[in-house]
Amino acid sequence: MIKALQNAFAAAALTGFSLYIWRESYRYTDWAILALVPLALVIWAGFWPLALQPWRARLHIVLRDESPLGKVLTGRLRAFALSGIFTFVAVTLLAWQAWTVSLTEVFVLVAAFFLSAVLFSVGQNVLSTHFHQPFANSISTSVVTWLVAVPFTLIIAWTTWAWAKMPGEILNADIYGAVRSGISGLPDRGGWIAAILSVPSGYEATKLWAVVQLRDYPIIGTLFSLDAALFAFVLCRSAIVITQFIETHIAKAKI
Amino acid sequence: MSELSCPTVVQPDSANVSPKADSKPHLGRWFWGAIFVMALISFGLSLASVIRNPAASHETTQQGSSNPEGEISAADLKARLTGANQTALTAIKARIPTVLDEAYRPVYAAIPTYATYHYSVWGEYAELTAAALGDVGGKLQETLFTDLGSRLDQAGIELDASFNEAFKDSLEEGPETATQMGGTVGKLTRTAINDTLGRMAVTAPIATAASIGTGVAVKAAVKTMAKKIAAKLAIKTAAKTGGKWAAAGTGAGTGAAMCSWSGPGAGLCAAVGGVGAWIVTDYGIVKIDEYWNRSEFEADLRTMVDEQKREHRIALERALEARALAVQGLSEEIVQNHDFTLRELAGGSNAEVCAIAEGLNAQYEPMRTSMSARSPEAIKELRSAANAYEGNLSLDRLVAELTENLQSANLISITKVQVFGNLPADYRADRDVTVNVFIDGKRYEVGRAESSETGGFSVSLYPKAEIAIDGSVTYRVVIEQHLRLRNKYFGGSGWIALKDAFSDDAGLLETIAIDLPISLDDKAGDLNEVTVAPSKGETLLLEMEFLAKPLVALKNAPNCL
Repeated sequence: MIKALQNAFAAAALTGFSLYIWRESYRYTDWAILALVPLALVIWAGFWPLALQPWRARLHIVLRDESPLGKVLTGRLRAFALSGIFTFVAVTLLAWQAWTVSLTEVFVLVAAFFLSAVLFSVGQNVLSTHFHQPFANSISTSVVTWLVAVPFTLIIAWTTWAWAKMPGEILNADIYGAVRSGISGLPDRGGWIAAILSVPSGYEATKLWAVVQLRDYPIIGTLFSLDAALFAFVLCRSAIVITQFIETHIAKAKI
Repeated sequence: MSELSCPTVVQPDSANVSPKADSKPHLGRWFWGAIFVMALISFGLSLASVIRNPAASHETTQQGSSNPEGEISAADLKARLTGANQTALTAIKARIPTVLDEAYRPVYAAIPTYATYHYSVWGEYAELTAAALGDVGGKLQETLFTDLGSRLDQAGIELDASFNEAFKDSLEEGPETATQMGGTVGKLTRTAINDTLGRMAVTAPIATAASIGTGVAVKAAVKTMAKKIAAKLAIKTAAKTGGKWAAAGTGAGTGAAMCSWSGPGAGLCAAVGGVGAWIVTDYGIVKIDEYWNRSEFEADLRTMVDEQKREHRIALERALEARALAVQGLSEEIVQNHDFTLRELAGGSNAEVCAIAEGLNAQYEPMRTSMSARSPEAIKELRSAANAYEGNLSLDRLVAELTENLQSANLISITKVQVFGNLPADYRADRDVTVNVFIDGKRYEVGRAESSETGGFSVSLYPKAEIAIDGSVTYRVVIEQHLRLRNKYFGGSGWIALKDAFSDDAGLLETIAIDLPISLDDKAGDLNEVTVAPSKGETLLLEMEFLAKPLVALKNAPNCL
C-alpha cells in the first residue's frame, strides 16, 4: 500500500509540475510546450505496453509458431499508433484543462488522479492473483478507470454545474460571438498551440452558447456539465498509464 | 526510448508475469531529477508571478473581449470599474485644495480681527486672564474657527458627491460605443453597474472618516495655536512688567506729591494715580508692540493655519484613498458575481424565477402597509421562503433585500399615550393633577395638568418605546392630586399582550384603548410611593398609539417583463 501511495505521489508530482509550468509559462511563450514533453514521454511509454502486450498475447494464441505472419504481425505498429493517439489526445486535453481549470476543480481532479493511481497499483496486485499477465494489467486498467471515472464524472459534472463560473458576455452573444469569446481566453499572439487549443475552447464555448439559448430546459445544462466531466475518463486513464510507467521503469515493482 | 519500445514478449500462460523491469535501464535518476527540476521551475514561476502582480493570476473562467450584444465580460467590467475608480480618485484629489481653500477662507479673513483684539489693552488682559485659567484658545476658537468644523464636514460631503458623480460619469462614458455603459449594455451588465453605483454611494464615505471635519481636529488645532500664543504672551509680559512697575511707581509718587493737600486721602489719591499711569503705560507699550510686531504675529497665525490646513488636506486625501480602496474591493466583489454558473442559469429569468419572485413579493407587500400582516409567523415564513433562494443568480439580490428589510418588520413603537378620565367620585375636585405613566417600567413624566370635578383631566405623552410586535406591554399610571393641605395619590396598572391585539384592516398606525382601574393610595407620600393596582373600580381610559415602521418596496426583483 505504501508503495502504491509512493507511486501515486510520483505520478501526481510529475503531472502536476508539468501542467503547472505549462499553465504559468504559456501566457508568455509557446516554448511552454516543453514543459509537457516529460509528461508526453511518460504517457507514451506507459501506454505502449498496455497496447502492445495484450495484443501480443492474443497473437501468441491465435498464430501458429511456424507462421511467417508472426514476423509481420508484431503489434508494434498498432501499439505505436494507439500510443501516439492517446498521448496526443491526453496531453492536449490535460493542457487545455490546466489552462482553464479553477481552483475548486483542481482539488477534484487531483483527487481523481491520485485515487486512480493508487487503485490501479492495488487493483493490479489483487487481479494478478486471478488473471495471467498481461491481462491482469489491462483488466485492472479498465476496471479502475471505470471505477474512479464514473463517480468523478458525476462529481465534476456537479462542480461544473454548481460552481464553475461562465463568462457573463455569452448570455447575449450569438454563436460566432460565443466562439470568439471561447477562444479569446487564449493568448493574443496566436501560434500553432493556440490553433490546437482553439478547437476544444471553441467547442466548449459553442456548447455553452447552446445551453444559454436553451436555458429554459435545465436538462441541457446538466448534459453540458456531464459532457465536460467526461474528461474524467482521460484523466483517470492518464493517471493509470503514468503509474504503470513508474511501476515498470522507476519503482521496478514486481507484480 | 528505443529500449522502452521493445518490451519483453509476455508468455500468456505464465502466471504472475511482469515486464522484466530489472533488465531495463534504471530511469529513476532521470525521472526524479526531472521532477526536482520541474519543482524548482514551478516554485520560481510562482514566485515571479506573485512578485510581478499578485492580482494578475490566470483568470479561472473563459473570459473574452468580444461583445456582440452589449454584455461585457467580467474582465472588461473589472477594467471599467477600476478605471472609473482611478478617474474619480484623481479628479477628486485635485479638488481637495480648492474645497479646503473655501472652508478656510473665513479663518484667514478673521486673522486681522484676532490680531486687533490681541493688540488691545482689553485683549491683552483677557488673554492673560485666559492664560491663567488655561483657556487661551477660547477667543481664538470663537474668532478664527467658528463653524470651521461644519464647513469641513460640508467639504467632505461635497467631495463624496463629486466622487460619486465622477465615478458614474467615467463609467457611463465608455470609450466604445458598442459597450457604452449608458447605451445598449446588456441586462446583466446594467444590473452590475447599477449595483455598483448603488452600493458605492454608501461605501466608506469621506464625510464620515475620522478626524477630518470633526470638532476634535479643530480643537486640536486651536490648542496648538493657543499654546504658541500663550508662550509669546508670557515672554511679552515678562519684558513689559518691569517698565510698567517703574511707571506705576513714578505715577504713584507723583500722585502722592500732588495729592498731599488731601490729607488722609493722599494714599488713595496716589494709588489712583499709580493705576492710571499703569494703564496709560500699558496702552503705550501695546501700541508700540503692535507697531513693531503685528505683521509678524499675523504671519505666525497664518503659518499655523497653513499647517492645520495642510494636515486636513492629508487627512482628506487619506480618507479619499481609503474610499477608493473600499470601492475597488466592492468592484472586485461585483465582478466576481458578474459571471454566472449553470446552476444560476437554470434558475435565471425564466417563468419559474418570476413566479418565485412574485410569490415572495406577494407575501411581502401586505407587510409594507399593514401592521396586522406582520405576525411573527408570517415574517418567519417569508424569511425562510426567501432564504431558500439564497445564492440564486436571479433571486440573490431580492433575497438579500428582503432579509435586510425584514429585520425591522417585527418592531413597533408606542408613539403616543393619552390618559383621559377623572379621579374616583369621592375625590373629584377642581384641582390640578400631576400624572406619571410607566411603560414597561420606564417612567414618563407629564407636567401638571388641570382637572375639573366634572370634566376630569386629559394628558398625553410621546414615549417612542420600541417593542416586538408579538410582545406585551406593561403600564402603570400614578396621579398626584394637588390639594391645599395634603395632596392625594392614586394609581393603577396592567398589561396587554399585543399578539392578535391589532385589527385585521389596520394600517401601520393603530390605537388600542384600555380601561384602567385606579384607586386612592392613602399610604403614599409622593408619586414614587404609589403602589396600588386595583383590578376594578373607577377607571381611566388609556389610549396607546402603536406605529410600525413602513417597509420600502422591493427594488431588486428580477426583470420579468
